[in-house]
Amino acid sequence: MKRRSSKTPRLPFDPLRVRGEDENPSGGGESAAAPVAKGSKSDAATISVSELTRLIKGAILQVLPSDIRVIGELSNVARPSGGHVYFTLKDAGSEVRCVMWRSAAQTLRFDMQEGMEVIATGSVDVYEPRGQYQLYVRRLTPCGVGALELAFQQLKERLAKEGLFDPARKRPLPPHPSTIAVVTSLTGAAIRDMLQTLERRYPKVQIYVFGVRVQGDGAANEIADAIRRINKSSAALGGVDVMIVGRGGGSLEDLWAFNEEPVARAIYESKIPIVSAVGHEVDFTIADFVADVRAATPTAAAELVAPKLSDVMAELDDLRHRLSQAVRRRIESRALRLAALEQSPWFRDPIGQIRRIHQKVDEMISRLRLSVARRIHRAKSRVHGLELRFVGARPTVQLARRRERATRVERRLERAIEATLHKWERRVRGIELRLASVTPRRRLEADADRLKGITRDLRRTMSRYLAQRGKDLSVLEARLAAASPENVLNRGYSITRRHRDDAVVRSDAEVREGDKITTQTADGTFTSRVIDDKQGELFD
Amino acid sequence: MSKQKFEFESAMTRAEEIAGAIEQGKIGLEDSIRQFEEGMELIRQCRKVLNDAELKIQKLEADSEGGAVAAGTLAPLDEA
Repeated sequence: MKRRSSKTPRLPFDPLRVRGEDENPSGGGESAAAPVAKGSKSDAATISVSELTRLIKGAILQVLPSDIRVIGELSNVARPSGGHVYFTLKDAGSEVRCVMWRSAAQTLRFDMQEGMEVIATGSVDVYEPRGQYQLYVRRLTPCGVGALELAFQQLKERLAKEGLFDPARKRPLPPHPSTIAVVTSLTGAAIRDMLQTLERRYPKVQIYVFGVRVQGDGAANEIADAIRRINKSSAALGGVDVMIVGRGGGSLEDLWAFNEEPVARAIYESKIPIVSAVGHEVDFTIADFVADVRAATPTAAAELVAPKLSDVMAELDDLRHRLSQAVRRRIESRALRLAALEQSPWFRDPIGQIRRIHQKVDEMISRLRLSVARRIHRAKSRVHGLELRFVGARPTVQLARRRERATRVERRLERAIEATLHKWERRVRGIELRLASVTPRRRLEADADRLKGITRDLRRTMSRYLAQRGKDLSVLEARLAAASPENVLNRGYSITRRHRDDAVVRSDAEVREGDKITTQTADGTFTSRVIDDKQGELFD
Repeated sequence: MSKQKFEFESAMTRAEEIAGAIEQGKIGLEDSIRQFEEGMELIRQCRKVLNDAELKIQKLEADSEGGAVAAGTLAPLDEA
């Protein structure tokens, strides 16, 4: 591809191959000018396709500046394996084929995406085999947003999707690191700041510094390589606890290495926890997002990584204190237990304890004996029962047994009666108790009512009874009156009594001759003497 | 350094363990006294390490096998 400087557009051209119209004033005598001269006439000379193409190419090169900035929309972006990029730039009205050679394409930091508005800087030339004019792009920048910014956003999105920034995979930093690796430039202020900070805070560490370039082409790969190498050699270096990867502040371009994918990948793959320390506080890089911890500055990284010596000392003091306290408490608690143990009856009165146990044993023995004896007794009584059943066949024995049974039945009866009595007693007592618990007033009122009723009934009965008795009494009186001796005397009968003993004479045998007798009539008495006591015999 | 490093971190951890174990009464009296002594010794050693330590700075360089090797000391503090 030929190129001409825009400052000297007219001077260096090949008059043999390019014959522009502006050649005409400079003189038409030259042979090369002939076709053009001819062309301007009606009987133009016939030229080949190649010649035409060459003419066009010459014209283009001559007319167009070698540095053209074209704004348009990307489309048909193609990246064959060779590394060159082919695409079309278009707008609403037209389009132009573009080529970006590998050398230029490699400097691209963003992904070329369809539809993206870009400014392409380059020159126009003709691709002769196809007779096609093309824009040969040397520089491509996105419109509106800066190229780097765009690249940053694009990579960030992609890596985030892949999970490189996942907070779950962030590792904690070791609290007391002994070996720290630093990946940074050996010449910047960053390394000096870090080492000073470490010296000041925690001069207990082994520091390995891996010097790398932190900006410019290839810096990203160097940084990534250093991270990988340190991981690989960690064991040989005695176990690297933590790594700081960073550099001092700078422009976005300066920090760019830390926005590149290789660095992000290396950090992601690192088995050693990584603190990123890039630039100053406002700058966030892709490395910051991937790192386990992000420090705003190298100094901050050193502070994050190394504890303060005084803090660790305090931690140790605290631990020592805890340990002493713990063991003291432990001893105290043991002492308390010991004291409690000493107070236990076993230590205060061991003999008493033993005696008590003796007693227990004795008790157990006697209980054992008793149960054995009971068992023997049961056996004996079973034998005895059998004996009795054999002997019991004899009549005398049977008799005795019957008697015994009778006695037993009697006793049982007695007991049953007694038990029944007890039961009843208990029931009565229970009823009494229940009665007592019933509201007494109501009961009393009821009782009083009943009592009244009973009294009334009693009175009624009593008066009836008395009336009846009165009647009976009059009858009796009448009967008695009828039977009285006075009445008999009135009817002409008399009563004779022996004078000597006043006995009523009911038979002639009761008097003898000469006996004095008194005779009572209804209105008086008279005395007479028995003359003949055999008068009765006369009638016999 | 690697040996010392291991000892420091593990000594701290061990001392913490001991303190925790004694605090929780997990171990017997004699053991706890023995471990207490061990813990105190560990702490003493840790302090000694801290007191005696000094910053050691070494430069690393890439080796041919894709690793890194220490390549002499670095004195960037003086450089500054």
